[in-house]
Amino acid sequence: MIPRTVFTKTLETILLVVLCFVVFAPMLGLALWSIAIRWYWPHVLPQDIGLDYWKQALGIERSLAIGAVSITDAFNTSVVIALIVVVIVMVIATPVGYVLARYKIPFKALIMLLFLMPQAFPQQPVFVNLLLTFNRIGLSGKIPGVVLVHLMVCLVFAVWISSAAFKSIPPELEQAARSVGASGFRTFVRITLPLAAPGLLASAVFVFLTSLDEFTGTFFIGLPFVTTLPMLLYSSSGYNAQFASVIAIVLLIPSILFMVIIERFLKGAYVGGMGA
Amino acid sequence: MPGLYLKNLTKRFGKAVGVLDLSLEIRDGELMTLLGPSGCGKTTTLRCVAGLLKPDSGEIYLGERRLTDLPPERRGIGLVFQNYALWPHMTVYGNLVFGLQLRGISSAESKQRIDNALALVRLSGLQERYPRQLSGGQQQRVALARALVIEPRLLLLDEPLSNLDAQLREEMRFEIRELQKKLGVTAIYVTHDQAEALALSDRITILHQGKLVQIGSPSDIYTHPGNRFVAGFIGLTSFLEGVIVQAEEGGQFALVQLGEGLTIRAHAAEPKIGQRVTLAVRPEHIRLYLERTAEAMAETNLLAATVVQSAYLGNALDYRLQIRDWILRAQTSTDRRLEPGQTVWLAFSPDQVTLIPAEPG
Repeated sequence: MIPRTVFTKTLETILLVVLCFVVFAPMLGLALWSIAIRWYWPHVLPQDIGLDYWKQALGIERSLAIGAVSITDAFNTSVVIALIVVVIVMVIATPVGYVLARYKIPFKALIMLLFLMPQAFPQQPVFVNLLLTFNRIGLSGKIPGVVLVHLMVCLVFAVWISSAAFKSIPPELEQAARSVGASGFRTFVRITLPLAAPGLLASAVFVFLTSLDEFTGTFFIGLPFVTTLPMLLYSSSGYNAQFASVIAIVLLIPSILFMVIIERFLKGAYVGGMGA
Repeated sequence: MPGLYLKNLTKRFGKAVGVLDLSLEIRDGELMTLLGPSGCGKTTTLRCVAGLLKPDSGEIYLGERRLTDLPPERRGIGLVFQNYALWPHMTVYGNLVFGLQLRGISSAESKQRIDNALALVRLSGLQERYPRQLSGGQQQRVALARALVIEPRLLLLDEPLSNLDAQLREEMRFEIRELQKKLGVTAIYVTHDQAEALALSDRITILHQGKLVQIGSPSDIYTHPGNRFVAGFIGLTSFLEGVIVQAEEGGQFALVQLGEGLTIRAHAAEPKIGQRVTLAVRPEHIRLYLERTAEAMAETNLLAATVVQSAYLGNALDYRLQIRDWILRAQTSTDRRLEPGQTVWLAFSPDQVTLIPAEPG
C-alpha cells in the first residue's frame, strides 16, 4: 500500500505541473514567437530562430528588413506615465481612504459611488466625450491628458483598497498612541501608516500595472502623439507577430516582477507586522 | 496625585443616551470602578475622560487642571484597553519607548524607566519580543507597563481582563490592585463583572442607562444596595414584596406583610406604615431547617417553603425555594441534599434583609 503522504505529494506535483502548463503555455508561445525568424505552417517549431527582433526592439540594432522599430521610447513614456499616475493616485487615495475608513461622514456611500461612476458606463462613450472636452482645452495628445485618463481608471480601485487597509487597523491602536502623547498627525505617521503600508503598497503596484496596461483611454486621448507600449503592441500586432510578442513579454515582465516582490514583501510585512 | 472631578457630564449618541448629567469625584490615589451592564454609560464616561469622545456638556477636571477641551495627547492619562492595543509592528521596547520619545526623554533614562516598568509587571527581559510572541496575559501586562511608563496622572482601564481566561483574570485582579496601590496612581476601572469590581475597588460607581445609581465601597454596595437594580446586579439576591404594616422598637424595625398570614420582621431606618417595599435577601443569609426544631422556632423570621430545584456547585448546594409566588435562592453545605417537592423551613435575621421602597409603576 502506498503511504498517504506519498500519494498526496504525487497528486500535488501533478496538479502543480498542470497549473504551470495552463499559466505558462501561452507565454511559451509568446517566447517562441519573439525569437522566430521563420515559422511557417505546418512546422511545430520555428525553422529559424534568432534575437533579431529583440535587438531591434531594444534599440541595439537597426535594420529596415524586419519591419520593427525600437520600443524604448514607448517603454519610457509608459513608465513615466505610470509613475506619475501612481504618485498622484496615492497622494489622493491615502487620505481619502483613511477618512472614508475612520470618520462618519455624510453621504459616504454617495462619495464611494462617485468614484465608481466612470466605471459604471461603457468606456468608449466616456472617452469620446472626454476627447472632445480635452480637444477644446488642449489636453488631448499630451501626457497630462493621458495621465488624467489613467487617474480616472485607477483612482476608484486605489481608494477602495486603501480604505480597506485602514479599516483593518483597530482604532484602539491609534487611541493608545494619542494617550501616550502623540498628536493626530504623528499617530498617523508612526502607527497608522506603517500598519497600512502593505495594503497601500499593494494598491500602488496595482495602479502601476493598470496604468502600464491601459489601452482604451490612451487610444482615444493619447494617439497619435503619446505612444505607450500597449499602443505600439496594438499597431504591430496586425502585421508583425514577432515584434508584438516582444512587446507583450516586455509588458509582462513588470507584472511578474511585482507579483514576486509583493508576495515576498507583503508576506514579510504581514507576518512581521500584524502578527497572529 | 490629583483627584478627578466630573461635573454634569452628558454625552448623547443621536437620540441614545451615553451618559446623563453624571457628577463624580474620584479621590487622589483611589481606584474607582465604573460598574454596570453594557450600554450603562461606563465606557462612554471613560472615553470622555480620556479625550476620545467629546462630551455634549459638563466639565472634567484633574485636580485644578481643566481637561474638558484638551486633546487626548495633552491629558497625561494612561489608557489600557480590553484588546491590549499593542502596536504589532513594534517590539515591547518600541511600544514602551514611544511615549517617552514624545516627551523628549533621553535614551539612557528611557531605558532605565522601561526596565523598571517591565520589572513592575514581571516581564523583565522581554524587551525585544514582538506582541505576537507573547501570551494574552503578557500582552495585557505590556499594555499596563506602556500606560504606566509615561507616569500618568490618571490611569484608565477599560475592561482590561475581559479577554483573559478565568484563572488568569483572577490572578491579574490582585496584580493590578497591588500595582495601583504601590504606585498610588488614581485609577478608573471599567467593568461589567461585579465580582471583579468587588475584589479590586476602593469604591464602586454603579451606572444604569447612563445615570448614576449608587456610589460606595464594595461592602457598602453589597450589604446596602440602594435599589432593586443594584441588589439584583451585585451578587445573588432574591426578592419578596410586601407592605409595611407596623413600626417597632422606636422605628428601627418594620413588620412587613407579604400576604395573608405571612409577615416578616426587617431592619429599617424610618419605616413608613402603608409603604410598598421590596425585600432583598442574599442566599448566604438564608438558613434552612428540615423541621421546626427548638433552634428553628427561636428564629425571628421562619417561613415554610417548597424545594423547586437543586444544583450541585461543588463547594455548596444551590436551591430554588418557593414561598407562595416568590422564588428564593439559598445555598447550603453539601452534607445533605434536599429533594424537589420537599418542604423546608427557611429563616433569615431581620438585619440581613434589605428594605427597598418599591419603585413606582
